[in-house]
Amino acid sequence: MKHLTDNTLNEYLDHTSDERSRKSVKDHLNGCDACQTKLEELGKIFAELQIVPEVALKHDLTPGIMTRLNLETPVRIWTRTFAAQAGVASGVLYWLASQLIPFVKIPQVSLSKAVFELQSWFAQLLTIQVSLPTWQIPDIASLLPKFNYQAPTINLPFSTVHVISLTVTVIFLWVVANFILLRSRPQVQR
Amino acid sequence: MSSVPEGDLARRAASGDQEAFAEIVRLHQQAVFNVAYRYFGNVKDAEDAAQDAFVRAYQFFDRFDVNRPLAPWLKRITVNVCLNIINADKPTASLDDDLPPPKDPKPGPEAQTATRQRERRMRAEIVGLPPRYRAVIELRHFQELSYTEIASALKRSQSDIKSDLFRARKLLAERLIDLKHETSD
Repeated sequence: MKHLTDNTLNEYLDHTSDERSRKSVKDHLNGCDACQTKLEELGKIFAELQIVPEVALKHDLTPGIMTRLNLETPVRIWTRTFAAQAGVASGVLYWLASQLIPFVKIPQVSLSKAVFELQSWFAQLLTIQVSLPTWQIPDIASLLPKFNYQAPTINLPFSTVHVISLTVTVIFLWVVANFILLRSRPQVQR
Repeated sequence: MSSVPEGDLARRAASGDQEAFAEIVRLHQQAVFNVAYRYFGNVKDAEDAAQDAFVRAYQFFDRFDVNRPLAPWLKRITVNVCLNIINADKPTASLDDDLPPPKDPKPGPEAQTATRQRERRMRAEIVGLPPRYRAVIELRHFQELSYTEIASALKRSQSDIKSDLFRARKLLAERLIDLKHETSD
């Protein structure tokens, strides 16, 4: 007679074999004392493992774990909240920029003229000679060559009232934003 | 016991709320400690491993599906933490001489003494197993995972898991038989 293997007996006790295999094992066990004894020996291990109970914890582990969390876990800045705030801020900046750009007036200067101006400025820079007594501080600004440069201007149709209102609004938003960022909230260290 | 549903706690912990995570620790520390205690057989190492397991769980909480129960996930992390500690050859203490009291003590002093002796013997046999055998015994007999789930938790093949589990049981059976012979001599 061919005896049951250890694998078959283990799978039988683990209830992982299919119904057909289980029936075949049962039939074999009914007629084989050796395999029946082996199964009982193995079954005892299952029973012995069952008697190992849960033990009681002597003290609360929570304070130690929470202290370790703050010491060992790196601060994760890129949280969902932070991403949402960054998204809103980027959107507002984009909107502001799109509103302001049409009003920006850039002076019309040809590229060749701009390059010529720059070259002349550097050429004049190289000709500067400083020969002053050691006790006198040189007036560098007056020695520097004049650069014919026209800055871009913003031609906004703003009145004084507009400017004051805008300033007050910006200050208000700044205070509110700081309050949101600095308010007390659950830590987001991860 | 917390009145807040576990799913809500898990969601809050996943978004970084430490108060919610502290509540999860309070709820599950007993179970996690017991997994580690079965592994090491002494309170000191078991407490250290339980702490490591919770810290690791917190760091990887964003990988946890908050709609699933927490206990099996935390216990699986604990098994892996215990395996890592043993594989790293960190020195561990020996089996405690006095077992901590059981969570639900059985009535009757005589019955208690006999049960405690059997329990101590069984714990010693489990701790005496090679680490990978301990892991499969823990996951199969105490956490009641299937072969497939154990293979997934330990990142090994199912045939390896079956082989280790059956060998571990055989080893335990042989040791318990030897012990019976010694006590009857």
